[in-house]
Amino acid sequence: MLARIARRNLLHDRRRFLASVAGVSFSVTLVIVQLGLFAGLAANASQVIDRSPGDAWITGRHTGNFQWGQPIPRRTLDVVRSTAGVAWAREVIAGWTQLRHPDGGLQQLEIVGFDPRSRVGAPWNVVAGRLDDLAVPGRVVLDRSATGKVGRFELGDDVEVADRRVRVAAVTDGITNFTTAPFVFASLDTARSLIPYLGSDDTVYVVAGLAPAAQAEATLAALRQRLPHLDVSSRDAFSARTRRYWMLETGMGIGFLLTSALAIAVGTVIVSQTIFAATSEHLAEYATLKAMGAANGGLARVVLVQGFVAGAVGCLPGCLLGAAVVQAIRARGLAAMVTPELVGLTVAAALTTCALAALGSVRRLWRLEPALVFRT
Amino acid sequence: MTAPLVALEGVSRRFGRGPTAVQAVRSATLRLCAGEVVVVMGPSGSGKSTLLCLVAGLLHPDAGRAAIAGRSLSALASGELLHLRRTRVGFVFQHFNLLRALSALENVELGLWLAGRGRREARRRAAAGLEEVDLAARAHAVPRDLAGGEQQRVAVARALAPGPDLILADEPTGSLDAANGRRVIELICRHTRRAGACSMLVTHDHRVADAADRRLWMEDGMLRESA
Repeated sequence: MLARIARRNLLHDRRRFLASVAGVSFSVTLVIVQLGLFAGLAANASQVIDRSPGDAWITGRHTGNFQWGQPIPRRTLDVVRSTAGVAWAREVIAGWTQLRHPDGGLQQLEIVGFDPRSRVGAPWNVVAGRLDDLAVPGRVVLDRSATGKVGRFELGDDVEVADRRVRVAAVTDGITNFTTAPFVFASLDTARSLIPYLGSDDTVYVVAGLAPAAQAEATLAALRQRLPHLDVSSRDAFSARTRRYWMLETGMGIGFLLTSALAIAVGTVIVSQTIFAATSEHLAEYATLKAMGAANGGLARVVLVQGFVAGAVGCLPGCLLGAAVVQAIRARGLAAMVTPELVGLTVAAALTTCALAALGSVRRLWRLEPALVFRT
Repeated sequence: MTAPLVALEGVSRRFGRGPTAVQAVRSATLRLCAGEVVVVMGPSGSGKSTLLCLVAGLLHPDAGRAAIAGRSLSALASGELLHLRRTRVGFVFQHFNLLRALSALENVELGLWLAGRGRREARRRAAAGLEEVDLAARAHAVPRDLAGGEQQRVAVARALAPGPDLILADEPTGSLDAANGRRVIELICRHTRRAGACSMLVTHDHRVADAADRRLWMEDGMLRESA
């Protein structure tokens, strides 16, 4: 019966209810877009790590993220391969260089070098050409999304990178770089030749696959002991470190999270105000219910259900609109994603805050004197 | 002599402190027996509504003792007091106090639900209650679609449907025309006598006083029998 009163009260004040629903929808849309961008950028920042096979990443000391890798001695590869518990090890190179436009302009590029036979650090979503062709020196892979930065290109076209002409041997789709500088994938040797500060005895990362039966932690510890001047991390740890660096240490993620919190706060205030106004308008009715013997807990349920229903009804259009906006962002080549977890988190946050928004009204009802009914 | 359903013994109640304090009720003593309809009259601000609140247990007395069916209200835990009001007390208000979002039938059901009736029984008894006040045809109308007299009859049905021992009414005819006022008083008196309950009606309406078994006068918080 109390739930029925809550529902009827909401529908009775339709205009107010719609204002409340609109507030929640707006808030949820904003949160989904912000968190979608946050999640998309975070995943984007660590995508090369996450998509590569391998259990351990050996990096220069204090390497905070994949993008800012430092040169390390190439012989590290031999040390890793000879460590007990390591099944295989491969190099991956990441470094910065420049593309020269025909008009003389320069564009920053991030080169990712990998062994085309092993696919460790290799690109994905190849839509034209073959990765095997990268074995030929001076061959590279570009992503379709790079057109805006490097100019129009087709499979087989030549482009000028680091004052060298290289040929597009394969094209990928949807591999965008978190830093906005396009990725250029190439073989290890080609990559080394395109990164001016990298010597022939340098590499940037060594990725290791651990023997299935091996104790991963023990092997990581052994690697750390043998490579005291380098960082040894599990793949997940290096991936998380990369995301954390870009999203938290640069302050970028804080901005997204603050905007999300602000959106939630706006929704909470709107719901809180509408429920408070609705409660005030029905105060005489609540006093009547109290006089008739309704308990405070029951009345609190009426108000909480109102907050919850406004939240639930507002979440549906908010989620749909948020997902549509995120799709539109993705269609423009920017990193954004909506996952069931993200939607679940947003809905849970929205419903919780709607319930919290009702608490001010609950407090008012608890203090309401039932004797009021005889004083009007 | 039958035991009274309601007994007030030397009940006093004051609002505020210091020089601005108002002594709303002064040492009121009152007994209401089964089948009895009592009206309380008096000027505005004389303490009539406070007296109703004290009888209902909505306010606690500063001094004296209020009891319903032999149970001292001060001795009851808050949950017991709520239960007592749900099951043994029916309220009728001057401005009806119906829930605007609920239909007439649901408003009556509400009283029964609070009194602990199951959903089906509450629905059945609510329909019967509306029939008794000649509003069966308006069962699904919401209060704003009902005339004042109809709303008060719904409120009376809500108060009487659970079968309370005590009916407390504050100016029940205050917002009604003569015919509707008479009708409402008839309904309350009929239930009181038929069910062996007792009613206490606060009113300015002399026609209500004429229908009562006993008339009390209240002035400056003092309660006394009236001729």
